[in-house]
Parts: sequence; structure tokens; C-alpha cells
Amino acid sequence: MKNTEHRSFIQLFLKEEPVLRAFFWSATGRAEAVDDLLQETAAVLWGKWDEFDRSKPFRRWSLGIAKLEVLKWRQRLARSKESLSEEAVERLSEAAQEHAEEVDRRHLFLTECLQSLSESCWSVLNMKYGQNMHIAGIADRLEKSVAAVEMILVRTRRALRDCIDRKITQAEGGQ
Amino acid sequence: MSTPELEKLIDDYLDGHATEAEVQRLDALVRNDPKARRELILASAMHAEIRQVASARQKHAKPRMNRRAGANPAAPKAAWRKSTKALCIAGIGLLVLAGWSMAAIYASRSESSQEQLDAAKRELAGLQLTRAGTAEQDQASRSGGDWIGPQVVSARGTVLSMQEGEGINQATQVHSGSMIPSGRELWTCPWGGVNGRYSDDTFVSMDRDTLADFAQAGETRQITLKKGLLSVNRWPAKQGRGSMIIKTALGLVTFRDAEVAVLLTKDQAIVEVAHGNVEFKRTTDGKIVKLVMGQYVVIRSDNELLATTGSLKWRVEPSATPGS
Repeated sequence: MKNTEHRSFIQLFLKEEPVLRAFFWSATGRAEAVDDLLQETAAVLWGKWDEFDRSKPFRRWSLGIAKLEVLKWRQRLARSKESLSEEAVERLSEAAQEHAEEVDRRHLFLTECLQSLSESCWSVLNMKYGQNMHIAGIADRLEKSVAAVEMILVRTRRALRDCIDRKITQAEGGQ
Repeated sequence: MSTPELEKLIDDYLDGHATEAEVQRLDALVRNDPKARRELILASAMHAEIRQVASARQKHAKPRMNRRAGANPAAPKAAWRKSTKALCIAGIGLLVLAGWSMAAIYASRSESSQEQLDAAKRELAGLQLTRAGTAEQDQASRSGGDWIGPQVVSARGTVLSMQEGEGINQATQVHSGSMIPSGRELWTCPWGGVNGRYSDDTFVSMDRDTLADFAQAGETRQITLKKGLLSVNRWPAKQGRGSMIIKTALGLVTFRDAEVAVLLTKDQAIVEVAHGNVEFKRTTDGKIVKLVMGQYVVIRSDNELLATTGSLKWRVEPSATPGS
């Protein structure tokens, strides 16, 4: 594989990473599956790079491969009652394609909004997302009730959604 | 379903807390309601980004040490640190655990101490099997029983071994057990990382999007770091051994027994010492700075070299290709 082709692949793949992560998490409901699926998908895409028609959108192709990897994952590991149906996964793959640009736009604003969070919000997020702690463990560590920690998470997520919506509105209003 | 109700259902699902009934309810919504599909995709994207950022903060967070007055104010905020308690436990299995501690620099999942110990034992067993019977994987030349580069203990994501100067032409993917010979570059892709081990129990860890090559002259081992984040851990050996050099475009990092991390970007390097004594000599003017445990220095082509007590926090931003 030549340098220039590899560079092209890497650039395209990195650009799609937020959408792929969103699709994997939505389709599996499991944070721990996201990284594995991303790596497996990257490996498949790279292996098939020579077959890819460069005139066609990389996004559609990568999401198609990603969907197949999720379906394989479902067959291997998922218990049907705790995961979405195959039809739902198919619909989510289409939705990821349809809303990919919105994901990209919101991704940029989310980075800014995360920086505006207080340290108390971040302490909960770090434990929940960075250390994969359960709510009860976080409550114990912070010496708060479970309900209080859940409320912090709900409010933080709502604040982030509102922040992103506000920034999008401001950006569109300025055009 | 109201928006707050849908948001709660989606958040519970993404948190892994949804009941069987709730998952089925969400499944029906996803199949039939375009709005629900959109909300789930956007929420997943938000959760995924929070997790990425929180994981990066978690990897690089460490207790702040006292800073001396006069610390470089322009230094970027970044830090790494490994617990040294586990490293003090005797035995070769725990030296492998030290290697796994370094692997936590790039691991995207946090692990309990017990999980790390179990993983270290498995890796040790795998390493012994590798030494015994994988001659076909051994690409390195051997000299007096030592191999020139490290042996890969674990590789995460895509890690490539490339002939120096040829980029990804003739590149081969490395895996656990691969030998890294002299004259070949090792590159961890933006989603990759690698742990390696020399025959003298020197451990090397490369974070994502890091490019380096490995060489040896006599008893002195040299790693040329071309970009990215490299960590080396050398505990005192029972028998004497040669020096270790980490060569960068800005200068040489030299030590015998130490635990040191070097971050190299286009115009700056940071050297941070967790244990031992390390010397850095700058290429442009020959100036030398000596570092001891708990110190770091920020290096550019012409700044004042100050050994500063404390730690930094950083996040390596990956680029697209090995050469950029």
C-alpha cells in the first residue's frame, strides 16, 4: 500500500470516527464494545481498501462495513433480550448515515461545552465514563446518595445538550 | 413519548441500565420513529465523546506535586504517572506487571489492580511460550544472546514495522511476540499502542501515533523517537548493563536505570522522570540538564532548560500519517 493511499485512508477514517462510535454505541448499548468494533471495522476497511471505489462516499461504505461488524457482534455475544433487534440495527445504520453531518457539527460544539463544565460535574463524569464506575460506587466515593448522583448526571447531560443547541443556534444565526 | 422521557430511556440504555422491557420499548421506537433514531444517534455520539475525553483525563491524571517557583509557564498542561507501589514487588512476574502499568498510558479501559496482575501473569506465560518456540516470528539479528530491539509484549490496534525511509511500503503488522530488529521503524496508528520488552527487562511503551526505531551499539541501547509519546522503564539490574539513549531531533536523553517518558511534537519535547537519574543534552547548543525522580523539563531549540519538580498533563493529538 503506497504512502499516499495510506494517508488518504487514515484521514478519511479519522473523520468518520465520531459517527462510527455513535453508531456502535447506539446499536449495541455497550460502551465496552465500541473500541473493539472500531478496531475490527478499521481492520476490515483497511483490508478492503484496494476494492473501494474512490468516487463513492467513504462514509456510506464505512457505515455499511460497520453495520456488518455489529451484526456479527450480535451473533457472537449479544443476548437478544438485552440488545436491539437486527431490524433496529439496520435502521440505526441508515440513521447514522442520515445524521452524520449533524453528528460532526455537534461534535465540534460538544468539545467546547465540555470545557465549560464545573469540576464537580467532571468528577462524576470521570468516574462514570473514565473509570467505568457504577452509580452506587460513585455515590459512595462522593458520599452522596445514588439519587443525587443520578440527578447530577441527568442535569449535566441536559446542560450539554442545551449548550450544543445554543451554540448551533448562534452559529446559524450568525450566517 | 415526551422528549425528557425519551432522553431518559436512551440514557439508561446507553448506560447499560435499561431493563429488558425498556430495551424492547426502545427497540420498537427505533424501528418505527425517525425522531427516536435521531435522538439515539446524537445521544450516543455525545456519550462517546464524553467517554473519550474522560478516559484521556483519567489516563493522564496524577496527584500534583509541589512546583518550584520559576516553572516554565508556557509548558502545556499534561501529566502521566504510574503507581510505583506495584513496581516495588520482587519477581519477574511483577516486572511484567510494571510493563502493564505502563500500558495503562494508552489503554482506553481502566482495570482493577487484580485484573492487571492477572493480565501480567497471562502475558508472562505467553512471553515464555513465545521465547521457546516462535523462531519463525523472530526477525531480529541476535548478538551474544540479546536481540537488538524489543520483543512486543502486547500490541493494541494497528502497529506497523517499516523499513526506515520506505514508509509503509513493505510494512508488516506487529503482534504480541513479534521481534523488532534494528533498522526498522515502529509506528503506532492513531488508534494503536504497543508494549515491548528487551532481553534485559527494559520495558518500552509507545502511545498512539508514535514513531520510533531501535538500535544497539555495544552495550548501549538507543531508541530514536521521531514523534509521539515513548516511555521506558529500567529498574536496577543485578548485573551491570550499558546506558539507554532516547534520541530526538532536539537532543539526547541518557540514563542507565530510570523510568522516563518523552513526548516529542514538531517543535517541542518534554522529558519527565518518574524514577532514577536522567540527563538531557540539547543538540543546538550542547546544554545539559539533569533530572531526578519527580522532575520534568520542557525543551525547545533555544529556551532555557529548567529541571522542574512536578508533573504535567498532556494529551497526544494524533496526526494522519507517520511522516506528518
